[in-house]
Amino acid sequence: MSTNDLILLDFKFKNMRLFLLVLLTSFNTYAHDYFFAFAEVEYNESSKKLEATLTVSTHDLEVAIKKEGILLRDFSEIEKGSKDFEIIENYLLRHFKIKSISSVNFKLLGFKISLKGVTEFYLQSESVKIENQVEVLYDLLMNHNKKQQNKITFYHEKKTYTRPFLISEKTQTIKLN
Amino acid sequence: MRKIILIALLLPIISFSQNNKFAQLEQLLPTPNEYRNAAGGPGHNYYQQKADYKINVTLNDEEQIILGKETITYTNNSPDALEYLWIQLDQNVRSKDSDSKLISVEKMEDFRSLRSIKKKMFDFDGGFKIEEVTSTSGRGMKYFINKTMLRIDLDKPLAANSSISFNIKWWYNINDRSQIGGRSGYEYFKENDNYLYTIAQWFPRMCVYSDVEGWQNKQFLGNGEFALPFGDYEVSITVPSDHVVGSTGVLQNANSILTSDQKSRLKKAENSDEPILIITQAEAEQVEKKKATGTKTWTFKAENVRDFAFVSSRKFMWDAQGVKVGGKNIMAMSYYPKEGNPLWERYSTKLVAHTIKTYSKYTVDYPYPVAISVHTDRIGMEYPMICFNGGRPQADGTYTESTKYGMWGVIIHEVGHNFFPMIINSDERQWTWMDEGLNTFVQYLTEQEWERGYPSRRGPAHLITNYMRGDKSGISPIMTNSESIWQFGNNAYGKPATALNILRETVMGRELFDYSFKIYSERWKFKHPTPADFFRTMEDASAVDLDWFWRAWFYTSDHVDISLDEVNWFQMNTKNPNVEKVTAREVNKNKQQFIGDTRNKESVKETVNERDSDIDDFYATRDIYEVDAIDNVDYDVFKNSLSTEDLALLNSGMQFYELKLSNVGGIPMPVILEFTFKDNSTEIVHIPAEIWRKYESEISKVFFFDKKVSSILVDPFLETADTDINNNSWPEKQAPTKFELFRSGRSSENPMQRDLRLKEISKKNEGLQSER
Repeated sequence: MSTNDLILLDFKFKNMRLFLLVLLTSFNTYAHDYFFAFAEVEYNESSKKLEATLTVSTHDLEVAIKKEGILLRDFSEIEKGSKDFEIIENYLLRHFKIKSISSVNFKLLGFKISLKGVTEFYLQSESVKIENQVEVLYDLLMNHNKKQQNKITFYHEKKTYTRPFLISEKTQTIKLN
Repeated sequence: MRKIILIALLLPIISFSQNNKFAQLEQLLPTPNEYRNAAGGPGHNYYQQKADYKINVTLNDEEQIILGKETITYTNNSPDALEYLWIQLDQNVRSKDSDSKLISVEKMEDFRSLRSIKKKMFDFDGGFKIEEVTSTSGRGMKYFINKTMLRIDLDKPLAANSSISFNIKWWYNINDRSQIGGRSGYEYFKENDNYLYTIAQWFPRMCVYSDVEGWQNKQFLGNGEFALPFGDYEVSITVPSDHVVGSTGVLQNANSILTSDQKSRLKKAENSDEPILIITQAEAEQVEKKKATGTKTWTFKAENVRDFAFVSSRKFMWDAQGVKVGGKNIMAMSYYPKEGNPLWERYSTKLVAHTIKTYSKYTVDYPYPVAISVHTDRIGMEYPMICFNGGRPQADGTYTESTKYGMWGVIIHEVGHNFFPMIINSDERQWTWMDEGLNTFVQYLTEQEWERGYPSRRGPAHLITNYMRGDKSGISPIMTNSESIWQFGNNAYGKPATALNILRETVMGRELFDYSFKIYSERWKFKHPTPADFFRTMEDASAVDLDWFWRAWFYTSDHVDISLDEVNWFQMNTKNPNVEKVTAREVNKNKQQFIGDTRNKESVKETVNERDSDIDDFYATRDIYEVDAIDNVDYDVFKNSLSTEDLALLNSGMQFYELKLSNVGGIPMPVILEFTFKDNSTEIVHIPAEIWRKYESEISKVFFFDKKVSSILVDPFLETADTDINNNSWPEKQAPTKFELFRSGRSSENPMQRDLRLKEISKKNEGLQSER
């Protein structure tokens, strides 16, 4: 099957906003009881880069990407630099964003599949400057399942900050002190 | 006035006892009574109701409809007269006016795919169509349907210790599980136009009436599962004649239903410790190619069960083996379509056999004659003696290791549900953790006995730390009603399973835990336990006060984070000047130098007192570390005042360490310390959680050893679910982040990826060779 992203058209109609949704194909889904994704992020003082590990239910992510009309090979067969690798990277980066002074650009370096049903994705940013707060968007898999909850643990100057993300709170601001 | 003073004096005491983490649970638990005693067992007047069913059901394969008629015989063993009876209509969760649809919170952004919109607009005509409710004489009975509950208004109250029988006739459209989900339903196989039915919550079922809730008639909203009384069932299932039916209970008419080959294979399987195929893949593939026009009726009987489910399809393979448990031979069986192979034929029945054996060891002997695992696409769902399990290989017959472990885990879990809640029959509508949590815990034990190092997803303490740490938005205590829980998986499965594992490994020890857990299981098999019964039994059978543990782990969303804040090292002063003054000289010599002093040695070429010898007086020239005669006389006097024993202790060279620890997370836990000494030897010290009983936030503790300590580690075996291990070490040590481990190459490629790479290389090599 092929494709597709949602095309969202927005019209003004009297006092109401009318949203026209144009969709093509989608796939069946399946939900289970594991609705958590974790992010562990550390600011590396020497390289001035952010290093992140996203821990995600493998099956949920496979299904979520599939729901967007994209058929990937099995995760265990995907190699770095391949088209599928790029698709996963783009998907993750759409749902995991950090902004401090400006938006941080991440790159997916690799991933590891665990037999416990989760995959760890390793991301690294370009050199960035972190000021006294960071704004984090982490809504990975929330479109796939409304019960999805995510959590970030942010390490900065030997301090640990933890914030949860819900469908009603997809963005969190962490004040670094 | 005196009263006011008294109250003012008492207030701090009351408030202390209510907030104290070690306060006894009496304030929270129900008062013991004649039905449930203070030891956690059934009381001397414990009672429970009985519901027996005789059902005739037809599966319409053409239109995917269930049509049924049942006679329920309900026995009131309570001391109360019942004016009405409540019956559960769980299929109504899919009816057009279902509350479940209305109470789900939505945003437009939830509908970003065609499927989600189709699902929203889907107009499935689900739910029970109740045709009649009649007495055994055929007279209509007055009834009222409130969403998923049906009330029968009795002409006269059902007296204590009496029974009533009545009939219900109904039908409903079976849901397509792949389209609209559900614990049961059908899966359609387009390739050969066939259906695989997993039929459950398919008949109007009696509610539980008990000393705890009265009628448990809380509406079924989708999450909180079921509360059901025990009873005996006789069920006749009419299906297309080429279908194979698997079911709760024992087949009564095998002679007229099964072929002679099937019967003889089944007989052989009874005494086989390996699965024997009753229907082979080749046979199933032949049958699924065409459709018979007639019907057959399969009749099953099941005794002392709380529910009844069945499966039916012409696609089924079927295998079985015998398992000996408690002197009985139980048939472990599996039903699966060819799509489940090669995984299912190889593993399913062996997993069933292993699960009932292992659970029997830790809980109660499996009491039923059969235990069945049925292949479905993806879901896992449990019923007495039968469960539906996912784990489907890819179309080419290959499968990933994750699929294999996923299938193993779900079969162990769902078969394990036979014990919790099918036998130890807790109220799932009220408390999900009582079956899911306890079951996930024994699942972990069972997985570890299936394969050494089995990658269990839940159970080990360190696997729950990400969930428990930090901000608690969206995290509810375990003791939360099933419908109000955030994060079902972590809250009701993972956290309680971890808590029990910690009790077993760290707080109680395996002997006390296993004994108490088995006592709980024995006490409440074929009965209806509550959380208080579990909490009380575990304490009563072990002599371990666990109130603090239940309070922290089950009634709060606190987490574990014990921090080693400070370590101070002391040695005893021997008062022997020949020892102490030498030590003092060493300490002075090695003390840290202020940078100004160091630089002044270079920059100040000569000080005044170095130039002028008249400056240095007695104080400047004396050697304070020199031992003189007075020192020796004083020491002799001191020595003579001590006994030989005291003197030996003084000269023993003991090293003292004062540790300061704080409870950052809020849950008081045992403090496990690993001391590593200069000679690289180690010693483990295990301090019970009660050390926090009066000082909840900070404690200090002194340890002494006859050698010097080089490092100290809190929770060295990752057994307490400590959510921050960066504050567990002295000297301070940061644990590497997952990213650092990845960067150091310690986890960049798993064995499967390596194997794929290897195959890729050999494929390329083969290609090169053939080109040559």
